[in-house]
Amino acid sequence: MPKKADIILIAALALLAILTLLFPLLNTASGSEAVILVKNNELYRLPLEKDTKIDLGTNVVKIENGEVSIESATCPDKVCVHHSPIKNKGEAIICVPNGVVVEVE
Amino acid sequence: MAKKVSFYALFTALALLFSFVESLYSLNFIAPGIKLGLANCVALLFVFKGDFKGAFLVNIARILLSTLLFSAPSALLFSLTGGVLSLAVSCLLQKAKVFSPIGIGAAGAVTHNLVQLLVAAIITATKGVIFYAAPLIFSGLACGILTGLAAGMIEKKIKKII
Repeated sequence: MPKKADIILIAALALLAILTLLFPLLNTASGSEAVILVKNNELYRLPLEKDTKIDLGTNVVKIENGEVSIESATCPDKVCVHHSPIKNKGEAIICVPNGVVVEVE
Repeated sequence: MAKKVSFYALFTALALLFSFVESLYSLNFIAPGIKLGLANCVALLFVFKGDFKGAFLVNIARILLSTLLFSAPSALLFSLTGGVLSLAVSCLLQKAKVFSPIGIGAAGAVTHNLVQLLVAAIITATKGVIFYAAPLIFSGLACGILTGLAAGMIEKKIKKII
């Protein structure tokens, strides 16, 4: 069933996907602060060097060993909890159901 | 008129059933919110038949119902924009006549995923979501090819009935 146009289209999309993988590689500067936003309001701006835990009610954010991660969350899929800890500038862990964003700056 | 309503209602119910089945398992280990897109298969039947209005009718009705029944209303923005835009892309490609169901399915699925990613980026005002782009495109291609292929084959078989 596949026609020539299909192959070109699929190849182009696959190429696009590979290109998006290059973005994280341009981004290896270590960050200094963890910024926590809930529903677009910045609530906390914390240094990564100090180990700490913040309980937002819906999510618990943990800073340990210079990295920040989400330890637990009330959302159904727990994508944010399974995300590996982040420490580079521009990296982020997002919990869409709870509107929680943890960014490194 | 009543015949038309019940005709489309039948397919909407079928799509809703597929939606329900998809809500029973999770492929979240690939990327958040990843689905096979079986419910969209039903709308694709109408796309391949050339009935674009029917496709939109069935898809939008199904998205509204399934979001209210199996998900939370907060997800409605994601589902609706993703579903409508991906169907629009599918219809455009079908109209172009150079693509087969496989390419149309693949393009529709990838569009759906990228639109949802964009909505997530806007709602959370974060650029970090781009990290999910690659797995979303690849799984979109894989699932889209499968659903496009399935819908294409089925449409050929039931052409005479619908």
